[in-house]
Amino acid sequence: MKLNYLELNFSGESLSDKLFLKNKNLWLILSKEKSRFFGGFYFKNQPFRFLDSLEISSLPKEITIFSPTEIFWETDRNQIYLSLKEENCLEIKAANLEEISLSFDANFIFNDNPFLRFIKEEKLNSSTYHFFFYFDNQLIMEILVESFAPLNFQTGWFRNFLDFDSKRNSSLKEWWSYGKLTSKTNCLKIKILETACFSGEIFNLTNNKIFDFILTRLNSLILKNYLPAGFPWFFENWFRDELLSLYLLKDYLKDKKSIFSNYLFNLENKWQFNKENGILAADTLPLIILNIDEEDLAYYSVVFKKYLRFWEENFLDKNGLLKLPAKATWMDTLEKNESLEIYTLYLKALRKLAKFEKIYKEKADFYLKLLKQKIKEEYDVNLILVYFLLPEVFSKKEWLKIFDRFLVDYYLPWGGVATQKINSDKFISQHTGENPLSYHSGDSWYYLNNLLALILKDLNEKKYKFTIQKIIEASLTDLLKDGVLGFSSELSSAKERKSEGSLIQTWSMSSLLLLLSSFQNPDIFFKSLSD
Amino acid sequence: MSKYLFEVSWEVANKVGGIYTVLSSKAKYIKEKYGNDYFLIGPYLGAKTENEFHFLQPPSLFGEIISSLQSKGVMVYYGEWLIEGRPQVFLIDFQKYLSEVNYLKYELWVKFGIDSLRTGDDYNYPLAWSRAVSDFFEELTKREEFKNSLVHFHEWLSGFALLFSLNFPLIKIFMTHATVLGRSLAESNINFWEKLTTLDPLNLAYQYQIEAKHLVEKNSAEKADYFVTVSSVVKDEAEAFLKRKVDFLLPNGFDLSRFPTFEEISSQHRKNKQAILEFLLYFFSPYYKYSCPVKNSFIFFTSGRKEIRNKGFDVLLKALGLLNKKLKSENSEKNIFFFIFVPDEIKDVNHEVLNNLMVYRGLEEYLNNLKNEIDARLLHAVIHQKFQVETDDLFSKEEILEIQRILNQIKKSDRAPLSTHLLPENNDFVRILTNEGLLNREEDKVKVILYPVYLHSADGFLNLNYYDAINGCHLGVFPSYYEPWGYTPLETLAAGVMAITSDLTGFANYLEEKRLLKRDYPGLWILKRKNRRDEEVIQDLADLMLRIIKMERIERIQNKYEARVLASHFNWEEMIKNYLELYNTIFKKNK
Repeated sequence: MKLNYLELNFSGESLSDKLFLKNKNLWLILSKEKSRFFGGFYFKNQPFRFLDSLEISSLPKEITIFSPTEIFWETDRNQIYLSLKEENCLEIKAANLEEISLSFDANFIFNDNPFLRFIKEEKLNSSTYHFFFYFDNQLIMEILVESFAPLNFQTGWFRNFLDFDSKRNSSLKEWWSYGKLTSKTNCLKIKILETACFSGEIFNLTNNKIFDFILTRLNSLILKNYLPAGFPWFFENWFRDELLSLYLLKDYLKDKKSIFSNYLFNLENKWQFNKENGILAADTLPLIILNIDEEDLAYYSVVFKKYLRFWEENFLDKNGLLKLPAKATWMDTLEKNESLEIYTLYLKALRKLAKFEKIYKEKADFYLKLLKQKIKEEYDVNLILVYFLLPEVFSKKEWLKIFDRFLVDYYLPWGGVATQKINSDKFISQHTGENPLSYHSGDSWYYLNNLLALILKDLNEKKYKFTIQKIIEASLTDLLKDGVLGFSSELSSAKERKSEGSLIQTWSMSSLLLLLSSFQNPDIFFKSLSD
Repeated sequence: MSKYLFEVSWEVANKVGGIYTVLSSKAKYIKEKYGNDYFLIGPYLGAKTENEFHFLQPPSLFGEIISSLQSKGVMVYYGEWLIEGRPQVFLIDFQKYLSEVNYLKYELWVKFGIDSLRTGDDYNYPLAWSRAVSDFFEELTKREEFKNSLVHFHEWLSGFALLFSLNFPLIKIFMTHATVLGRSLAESNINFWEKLTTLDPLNLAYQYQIEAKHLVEKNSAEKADYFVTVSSVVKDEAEAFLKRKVDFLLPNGFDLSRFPTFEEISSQHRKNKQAILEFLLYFFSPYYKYSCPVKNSFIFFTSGRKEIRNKGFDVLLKALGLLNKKLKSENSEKNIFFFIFVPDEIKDVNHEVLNNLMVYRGLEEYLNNLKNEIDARLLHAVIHQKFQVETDDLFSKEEILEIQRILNQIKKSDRAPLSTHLLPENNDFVRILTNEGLLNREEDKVKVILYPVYLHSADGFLNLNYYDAINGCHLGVFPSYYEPWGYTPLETLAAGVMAITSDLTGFANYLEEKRLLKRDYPGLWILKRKNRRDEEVIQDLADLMLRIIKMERIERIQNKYEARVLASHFNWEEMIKNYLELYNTIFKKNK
């Protein structure tokens, strides 16, 4: 299907039909494929799925994306505009009468007990329905559906096969939706009877249409007062994802201090976890330190030193080597005792603190030597993070040699790197969906690919021009044409470029923006993709 | 090996349907065999339960178990079921779990794939109760003496308890008296008998919105140690729909001692028949120019739940229509009055009928008071060889006036009624009767009386209880399309009344398999319905009823006798042997 981005003045052929619209606490994921993660959600401390499907009778031929809250469909016999611009409201307008059909759900996103759901409908008049959504006998939310034409409602639960989830090896392959509300109309509105609770945008725009394209989308993803790791299922405040994204886009942050105050004044509950009520994470504290500016670090150095000491007790053995608990790094499907990127982050933290106390300098020197040694012994895909955070570990000449070897072992010809050596027997070439087997044993992560391109550009842009171009092309294809249109995915299978994993991943977008902003004319990459 | 036997059913001390009859009628025989090692488990339903239950202090063996459950919020009441044999019963309160049904449904979904989304209270209540029952078994099996107790679960309503108790050391029997899917398909006019092995049960269950109950039934059958059912008819259906081989058949019996002996039947038949004929006279007379032809008449009936298709009422009424036409074309002298004793939705009593009954009974009373005088006047006439007696000879002018005054109170509309009660406009029976031309016109040889209320001795119409009413009849007709066992025709036989049933009835199958039917005077006729078109069945049924009408009196008496003999084969004293054989086999095997 033909696809246009008004903000970018970009047109192309889409590989996907997935659309994401979000305004504050309300979002929609639309697709012909069925998933319990698609549909309409309202954020009530957790995403609450109230809309199972929204269908139109005519066939879309062309999509134009106006903004993160508006899309326009040109269909075989109509023109349809979908908007979340008005707060807590989904508006559908059509040039001609269109048969629009809605079905409903009443489910918190990760619940797989279908029996806790109850929906009650009340016909207020021939063109207005009031729906009440209950979960575990509690009223969660209410909506009004209004049409310019009569609404017909068929009550009952309807069984749906979840083809998208089934493809992802989900344990849940079927889900029941409630009711079928139809109207042949040229205007239909769904109003959420809630008051939005929202803290605002965190990124400044730049007047560069490419950068702003990504920044507006990142801003639109904000929930409460944090940047979620992604959608649909990483909506929580995953600390490493947020912290890395904020680090990557530090030049665009509106109010750095207020953002980091969440971490600063809540260190006790965050420093060693991957998210609220999460599991142990060895990178959270070092990432906080990475992001905190020197002024705040100096001011709160006593606090940070105390927590760093706790961190060392938790994550280092008596010889100072890492002894990581299970799943304590971003590669949380692997049992890793040590990890290059944790050493790097720790080293970064030590260096920052060394500016205030000599003892940290000695430690930093020790860990620099250790890191070098570890990389010489064996490295993995975290090498990318090592270079990105601490290019001074080796000389440029040494890095070139290392990355030449690295690319042989990890580079995928379509423009990405695998998370496992390609010729290893542990390498898994196909993404395994909900089964985490492939995640860090083969799958290619867009954020790492983007950082790699940045690194290669830094090392020798000319030498690696082709590789850099391939990576950018792959990431832009993912952003603009595949997965959720206009958003970057989490990862791809190793064997061929795809948009897989979480459909929207903020650190993929942040790293892509950083990559694109390193070029004087990033437009050229868009031109080559455009039709 | 435990020696204890438990029977678990939603209908223990809770009359809902046929299972109650089965459990309550056989309990004394099981108790005779197993004594104090036999217990029934049912739901505690407050006031409804207390009518049938006598609370007792639990035996010390159970004291700790009950206290432990109480501390967890599950109340267990021990006592006796107030039926013959007074078996020991545990009634379990399930209030605690009523608020947790959604989580119980989730557990069943995750463990067994039971989709309970489209269910209501008729599902939720037994589910909650079953969970409480499994708590009981959990506590029970902590004690060594109860490990490997034999537990007999009846129907899907207690199937949940079986599933929740899978991990407890119990020997589990699951019994289905019919299948949920079979009943639904039959009621929806689906001829599934010939397609039994090719149907997709789960798909059909979803189509008929009974997937939850079907899946509970299926899983219970699958997971039980032994799967049993009541007849080979249900066996075929259960194996096809539940995909599990049936291990034993446990045909139903009944308590013949509740029914009169043949001598009592004979004397009661005359009295009850008279009462019915009187009712018919009073019911129809206002509407007929000439007298209501109660002489030379036969009284037939059918009864049961209002399941038009499953009980075969559709083919029955059509057969009656055909029979009516045949008898009219033959100019037969015989008349049939057909009662339909099927409780149904009513608008009101038919006051016209009730009024007329009262008037005629008033007249009867008046004439009874004049009986002696009338006898004397009659004698006087005969003595004077006046054999053509005039009204003036029997009644004085005043008496005639009084009789006329009484008769003037008769009310009548244009047509004879079809029912003792006023029925809603869309009543299925009325619709079919009208289509078949069975309008109770004077010239009709078959007249039908819809009796849509439960019979009792003061109902104002027949004033007979059910057993007396059927005792006064000549034939019971039950051409069921779906009848897993068939207590109604069996009780008819026990009342010494001939019966027609179908080959889709469990107990008729049993009779055929055991070759218990006599050729000459069977007492019971089995109508072939399996894999036959309705038109053929209707023709056969009409012909069969016609044949019965044309029987000589002696033939009828022989058949009535044989009917009673047939019924005696199903006395629980005999039939309980199947249960005892099953239990003993299991106990021995697990010694």
